[in-house]
Amino acid sequence: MGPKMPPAMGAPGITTFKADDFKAAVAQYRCLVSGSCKDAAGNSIAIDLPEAQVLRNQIAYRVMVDIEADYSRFEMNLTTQRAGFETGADTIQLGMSAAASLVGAADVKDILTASLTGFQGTRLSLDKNFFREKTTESIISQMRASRKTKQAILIKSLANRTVTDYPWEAVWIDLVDFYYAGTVPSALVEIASSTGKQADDANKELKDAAGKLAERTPEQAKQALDITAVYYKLEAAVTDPAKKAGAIQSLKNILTAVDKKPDDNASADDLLAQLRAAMGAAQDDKSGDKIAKLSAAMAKEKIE
Amino acid sequence: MAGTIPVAGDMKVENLAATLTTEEQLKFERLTVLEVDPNKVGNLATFENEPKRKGALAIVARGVNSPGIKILSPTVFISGTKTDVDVYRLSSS
Repeated sequence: MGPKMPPAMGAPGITTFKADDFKAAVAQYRCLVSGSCKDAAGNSIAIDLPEAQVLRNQIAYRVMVDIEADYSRFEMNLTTQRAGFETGADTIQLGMSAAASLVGAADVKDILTASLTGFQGTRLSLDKNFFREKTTESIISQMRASRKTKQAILIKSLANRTVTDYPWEAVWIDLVDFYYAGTVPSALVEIASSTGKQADDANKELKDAAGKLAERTPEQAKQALDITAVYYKLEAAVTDPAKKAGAIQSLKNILTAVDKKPDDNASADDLLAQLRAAMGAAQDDKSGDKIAKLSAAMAKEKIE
Repeated sequence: MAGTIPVAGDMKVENLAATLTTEEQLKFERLTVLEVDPNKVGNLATFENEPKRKGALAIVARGVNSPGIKILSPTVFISGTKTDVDVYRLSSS
């Protein structure tokens, strides 16, 4: 769902790029670059690289406009028709063909689709279950992000690079890449890569954490058991009106003994939370000193 | 915090059990998976949050009798050697 497109924007004559026009423009560009063509009167067309650059940019932006306009429609359809994707037998392929069929200028679509053939063999091998696990929002979000990245590269290159180092063929490769970025398969590939990277990062974190868990002695394990036994007694005591005051005082004493002096007005829940934090810190302490200190502090308290 | 953490692979069984016990007890967690680290001589221990107090863990060679309830039968590095072990949960009292 979305606002109705203004007629001027929706008029195909304004934005669509017919194949014949497209091919003629590309041919003219090549003439300007090579100087090997003649005009209608039989005169040679001189090499004119600045003019070729202008023409290159015009062609690129016209194709970009077509892709842009139809991507918006594709995205909206994807949002409203996801149920259809989920029941489809070949969802990945559907995502690709749906994107292709929505490119407005039919002939340029054919050219783009033909250019995409090379992508399909290598990029459509994703597990379909992976697609089903992704929300429409995450796919669209990925498509938007990828398209912006590709479009930024295109616009920057068109503005700053001459036809010598950024010829039309290179522009076309980037245009196909831009088009492909707005398809479901591309989004899935990107999400999969991103997930893989996250897994790699997580693995690195795991490796970095190596040695975090300090070797313990059976004595320390007993202390840990004693500490948690006291913790649960305190937790129970603060719920008993007859024992609450004494338990709160014990909690304060213990925390103070382990250099975590609490606020005078701290609630029982706050004190228990601070004690849990101190217990966690004791476990992370490789030396074992904190476990011993906490254990000793608790041993001094008389908790019923 | 629950999750998977590395545990040294050169410990004796009693120290491995003590290490896992202190992790469980002081962080309110429960051991769910114990396995060798495929990348080095070490082990990986996975914990889940456990609000209720659990008893200590004991680790013995596979098949050796122990008090408690057997909860896992993993292969882990003990003193630097891959060893089949049984992990028991001792009484929580």
